Amino acid sequence: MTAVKIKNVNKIYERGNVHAVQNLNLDIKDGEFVALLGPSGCGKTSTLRMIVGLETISSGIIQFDDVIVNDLTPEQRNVAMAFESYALYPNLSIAENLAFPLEVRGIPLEERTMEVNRIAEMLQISELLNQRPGQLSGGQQQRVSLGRALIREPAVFILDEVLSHLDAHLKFQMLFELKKIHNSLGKTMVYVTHDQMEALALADRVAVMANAKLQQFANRNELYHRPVNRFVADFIGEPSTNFLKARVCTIEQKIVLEVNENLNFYPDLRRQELINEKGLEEVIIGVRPQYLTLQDGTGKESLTAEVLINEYLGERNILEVKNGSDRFRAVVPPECRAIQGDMVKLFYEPNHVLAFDPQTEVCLL
Amino acid sequence: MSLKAESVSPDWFKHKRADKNLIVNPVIPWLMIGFPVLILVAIVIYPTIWMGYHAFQNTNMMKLFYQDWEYIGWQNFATVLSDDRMWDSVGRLIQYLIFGACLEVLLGTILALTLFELVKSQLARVIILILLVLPMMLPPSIVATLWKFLLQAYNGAVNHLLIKIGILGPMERIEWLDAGLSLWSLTMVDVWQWTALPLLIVYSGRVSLPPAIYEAAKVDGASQFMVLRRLTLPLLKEIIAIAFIIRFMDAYKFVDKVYVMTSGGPAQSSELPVFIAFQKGIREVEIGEAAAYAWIIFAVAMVLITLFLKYLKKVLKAQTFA
Repeated sequence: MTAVKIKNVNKIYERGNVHAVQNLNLDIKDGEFVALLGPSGCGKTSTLRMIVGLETISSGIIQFDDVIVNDLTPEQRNVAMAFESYALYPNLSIAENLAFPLEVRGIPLEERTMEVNRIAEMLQISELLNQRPGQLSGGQQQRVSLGRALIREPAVFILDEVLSHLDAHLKFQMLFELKKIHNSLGKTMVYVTHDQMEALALADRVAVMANAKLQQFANRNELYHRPVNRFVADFIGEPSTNFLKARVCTIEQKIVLEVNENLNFYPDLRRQELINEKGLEEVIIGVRPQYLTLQDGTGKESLTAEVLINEYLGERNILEVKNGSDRFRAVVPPECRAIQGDMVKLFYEPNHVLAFDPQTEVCLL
Repeated sequence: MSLKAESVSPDWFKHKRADKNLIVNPVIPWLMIGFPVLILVAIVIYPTIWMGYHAFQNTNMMKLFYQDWEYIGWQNFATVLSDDRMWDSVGRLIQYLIFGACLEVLLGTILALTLFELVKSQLARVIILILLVLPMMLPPSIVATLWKFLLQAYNGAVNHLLIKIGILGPMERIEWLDAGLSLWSLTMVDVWQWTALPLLIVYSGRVSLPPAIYEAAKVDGASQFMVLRRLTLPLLKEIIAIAFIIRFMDAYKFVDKVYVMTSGGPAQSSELPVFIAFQKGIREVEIGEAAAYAWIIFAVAMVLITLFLKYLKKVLKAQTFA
């Protein structure tokens, strides 16, 4: 059981002089499932490799509980890692692959066999034990790779994009299994992914990274409803948030955000105050397509827009609409039959209108 | 804008397709294939048949001159197989295979893995590889001539060096190309020249192994030795075997350095089977016996190569699963 503390960690690659991770601070609690989420090249894999000990730390401190692990080998840190490319040993059978971490620790054969059988049963790969990695499908290899990480009760589990090569169906199944494994073991897990769906589904808290910097480290509710900046608002959520440039106007002592002459947004009182405090003349509005609905309700504001595309996705439709020259999207029920050229009336709650400072792109919270 | 069917393909395309000049006289392909085939028949196929025929005749220089050889059945083969000179040379071939080919592969493997593990800079690696591979780039006859000079008992650079560093006394000499040492010297020179080949093969094999499994092994806590024993060597097993097969096939026809450095001597002490066949046929013009020699060598080579090919097939089959 281990808490991982990352304090002011930097990673600079000498070759190419790339500052891959800048002043990273993360405080991962004991037994927590944390996801590192970000687009490719954001430094998440560098961070993870520094936690594992496969990469040196340019500056800063990584602690496991109270021990500084900067100069310890992966073995001394007692971490287990599942690799994106599985990294199974191609010349060893599945059973030998699973037993390898035990073999290097000199555990006798009978004990190894017992452990292998236990893990294989848990991951439902018992029938594959005598095969070679090359004979297995991607999903099976991934489970073996997980099994090899799980077999030796490490302090921290590190999972590097482990689901990215699986097809959608298998991915869903593995998500469920991973969550189950975490619940039953209660170990600290760090999971790296570029897929926000995986991160939100699995993790207790998600660390969103971009451009070598940590953007926000919070649970999914925070990320979704209170993103710190435009990047997080854009990256989290599918379809992604609508962003519209708006002028700040005051009508009857209320602040109104005017996108164009036909399209106004009415933010809630707290945001009105914030905009007032900052004295902004322009803001960027962020509204999630999920919060633009066809249903009216108490306290809801409305807007009209012309339908461009009605994309049918089975359990929901995505409407691509425009008002003047401003385009945005809304999520509507699949029964919606609006076609191109139709005018629709969309409703939103004022507290779902996010406002960003146009210069810093920081969210006004 | 009208799109007619015949105007679909652009001009450059039509031009390429309908170039009348490309239609050639049907004789030309026959001529082009025919000449190489004729040359092949003249220098390979005809002599092979001729050799097959004379293996069963008592042909020697005089009989060849007067064209009056006669059929003597398997007698040439009996002569060859009962000759101590041949069996001695087989013994030497085995000695050479063990201490030449095997040592080359062993040294090459050790050097390749050491180079990969210890030298991390890409530039340094390339420079070291080029230096190590240089001897292999020289023609064998040049290497042999060079080493013949270096190994001269008197005035040879090697002995001179040994005297300089005090291993030999000022008046002592090692007769490198004398009866006792000549085959060892030949083997040493061959190792000097050809260790680079297994080195290159094993090195490229090691480079192509996925780095992720080494990281996985590191995370799993495996020691360097464990990684070498359980992963690197088993994964390179087939590649090392192929390097050995290549060196073995070369060693089997090892004749160039023998010819230049010792001519099989002194007193036939460094002769190898192929060299004897050459000696019999070209020097002594014992055509019948030399032909029988060649057949025996050919038959043994066939058996060995068949075994190797079988092994290679197994390797390829295994690789499709790996």
